[in-house]
Amino acid sequence: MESAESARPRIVRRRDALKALSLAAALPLLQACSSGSPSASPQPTSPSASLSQAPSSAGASSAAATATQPAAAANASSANAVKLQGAYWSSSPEDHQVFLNVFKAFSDRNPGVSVDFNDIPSDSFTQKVTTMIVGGTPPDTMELHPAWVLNYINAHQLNDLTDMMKTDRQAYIPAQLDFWTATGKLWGVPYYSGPSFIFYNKSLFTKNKVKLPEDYQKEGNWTWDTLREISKQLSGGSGANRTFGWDAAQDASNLQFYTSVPIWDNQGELVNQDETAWLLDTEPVVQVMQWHADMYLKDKSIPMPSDMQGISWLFRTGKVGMAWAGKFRSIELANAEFEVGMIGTPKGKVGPINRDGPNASGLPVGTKHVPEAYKLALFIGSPDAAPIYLASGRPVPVRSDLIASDVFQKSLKPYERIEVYQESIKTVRAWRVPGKGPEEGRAFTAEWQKVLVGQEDVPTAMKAAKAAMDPLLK
Amino acid sequence: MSTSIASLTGRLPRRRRPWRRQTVEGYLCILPWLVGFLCFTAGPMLGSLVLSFTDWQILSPPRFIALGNFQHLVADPLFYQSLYNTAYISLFSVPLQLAVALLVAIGLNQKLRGVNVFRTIFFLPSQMPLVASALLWLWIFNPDYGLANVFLTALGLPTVKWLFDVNLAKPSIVLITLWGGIGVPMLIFLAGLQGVPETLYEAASIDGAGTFRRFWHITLPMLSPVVFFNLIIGIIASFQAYFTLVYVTTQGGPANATLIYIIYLFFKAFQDFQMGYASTLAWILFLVVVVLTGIQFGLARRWVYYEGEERR
Repeated sequence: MESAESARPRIVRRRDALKALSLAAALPLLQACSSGSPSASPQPTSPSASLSQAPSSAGASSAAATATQPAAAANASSANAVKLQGAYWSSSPEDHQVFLNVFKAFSDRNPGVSVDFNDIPSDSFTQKVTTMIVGGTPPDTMELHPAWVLNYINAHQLNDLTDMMKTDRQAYIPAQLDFWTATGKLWGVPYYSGPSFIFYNKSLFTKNKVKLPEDYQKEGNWTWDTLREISKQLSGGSGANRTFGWDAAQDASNLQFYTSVPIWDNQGELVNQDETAWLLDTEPVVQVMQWHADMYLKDKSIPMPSDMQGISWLFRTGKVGMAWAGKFRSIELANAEFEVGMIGTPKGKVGPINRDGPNASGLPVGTKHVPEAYKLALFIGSPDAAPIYLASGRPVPVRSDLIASDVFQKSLKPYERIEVYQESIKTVRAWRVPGKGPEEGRAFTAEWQKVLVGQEDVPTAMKAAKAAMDPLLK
Repeated sequence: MSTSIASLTGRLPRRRRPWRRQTVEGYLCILPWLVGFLCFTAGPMLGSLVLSFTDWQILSPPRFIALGNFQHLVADPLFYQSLYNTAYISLFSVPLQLAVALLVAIGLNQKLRGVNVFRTIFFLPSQMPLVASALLWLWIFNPDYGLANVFLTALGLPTVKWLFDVNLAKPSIVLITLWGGIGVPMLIFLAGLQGVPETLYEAASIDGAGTFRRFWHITLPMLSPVVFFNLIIGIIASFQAYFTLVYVTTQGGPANATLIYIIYLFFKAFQDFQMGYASTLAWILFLVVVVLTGIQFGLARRWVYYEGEERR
């Protein structure tokens, strides 16, 4: 009996220990399991509710001015240090440093506000930012791209900046704002523009005794047909000595980056006005795609994907006469072993009409520091940041006052012509791939590849692409 | 009687306690694994099962659509295309891998000087990072500069476009899987071969059996459980493991010729953000693998021989 009594407390202690251990193990288990539930995804708060936390829209709209004045440090945010998280992607270590320098300049002008640069690789950018948003920890500002910005707008995950930008918007080139406008509201503050133009290999032109594009332009004959004719003359050779006339953006099925332009210049449209149907089987579109197919397969003046394997940009090797490009490519040509020329977009039946691959800063819903985040968004594209940001040599300004500025002029390499940029940005048409962009892109590419391998003719491929892509607009 | 003892002592009968204690302590010991399994395997699986009945585009809350995803799947041509591509690659790569791995294992089971070096050499490709080997093969199959076409030219044959040709892209992938895929099954075959009793070969030799008959009547039956294991693992892997290879080399092209199931699932989940539909695809893949594995187990009774097993 005595031994039984003395044994009891020992059993109780063991049980208690087991209970405590179980509880300790179960708590994190429950916590971990519950956090992974999809229901945990935050319901988008009303943008107006978020904005109501901002001091005032007037205060925000004058942020461009305040950002330039250290006196702005006297605002409420300086009392409590604010750390903004900015999610952007850099294209190189040098570009990463440019972002850091811009953010430091912003902090210097806004004491108490610092920026934590979340540099997310571009190919996984939307995955990571979406995860951050769904996980309830959105960045304060995030980079936007026209290829997928509608996903975030339609899901009500971006703050409406229309009121904030009421005053500030006057400084911007109108087309740059159009990219970020949907349903009559503005969702992004532009900071980067990349209108397209053409770099050409002047040495290859000279070697083949081909008239330069500028000469055709002076005659008023700089057209897509001229480009094809020149391309033929620049193509030839075999093996390591083979040359191509035209690098169609490395992929002629890239509607956003390239193919839209010759189609618009041919008086064609990719989608109908209310964006409910693709117009890929219409004559102007089929003509342009046939034009490309002939260049690939008959003229052999555009390199096939296998010709470009493992080479990030074939033009840089000197084997291509002309390449569809943006300013971001300019740096890569600094040490080119050939003379570089630059010319604007050719015209077709109309035009030239140009495209752009701009970027803006968006403020995800759930951002805790809306006024500061808005200031940062304005700052990147502002004249204050221009000496740092434009000097990187990658962007074209988004503001009218910077497009002819000394700062921009100084950022150009000897082979870059400011008048080409000025002309290119003037002719930009703001267009975003409507519907389910990545899926549409894959569908279009798959049909286009059938043309390149000779499995389908162009009209059949365009009809098939339309059939596959129309449902994706809904 | 036991009731009265329990009521007196307030405890369960003494003889059951050690079992309970051991059980509890056992569970405590495996608790970290259980937590991991519940949170990182069973939980997500259950979650994806629920999601497969929803339309969830990540940025918006999931919307219950019952069998909507399954209806969409039935009408989705890329679902069938990706399933076909996967089945094609699986059908050719798994038997080929097993046959070559067995052949190499038999060669490496010979008592030769320096055999360990050869074993290492043949095993090494399976340990190479997938991205590196995929890039390597991309260059080997380059239509203009690749070694494969250099080899064909040397033989006086016309060059081909390998991964860039709609008709040759899948066979090219099969060839690549062969290179990296024989290492592990070869090692398992080698272990199996070393477990076959020498006495069986000696007895067969005395009876006049030649090399082929010894292989057919002794080696293969004795290795059949190993073949079966490798077959099951190979089939499961072929439905799941070629993601990196295909993503790096072709991204599913040209014209969807190498769009394997797991790549399509990835596109749906992480490019299109259609998590509900991707979950449906994942569960269909799971069912396909389960059914194929079940069929293999059913057929195994006819050809797998376990030593000491009594046949009915």
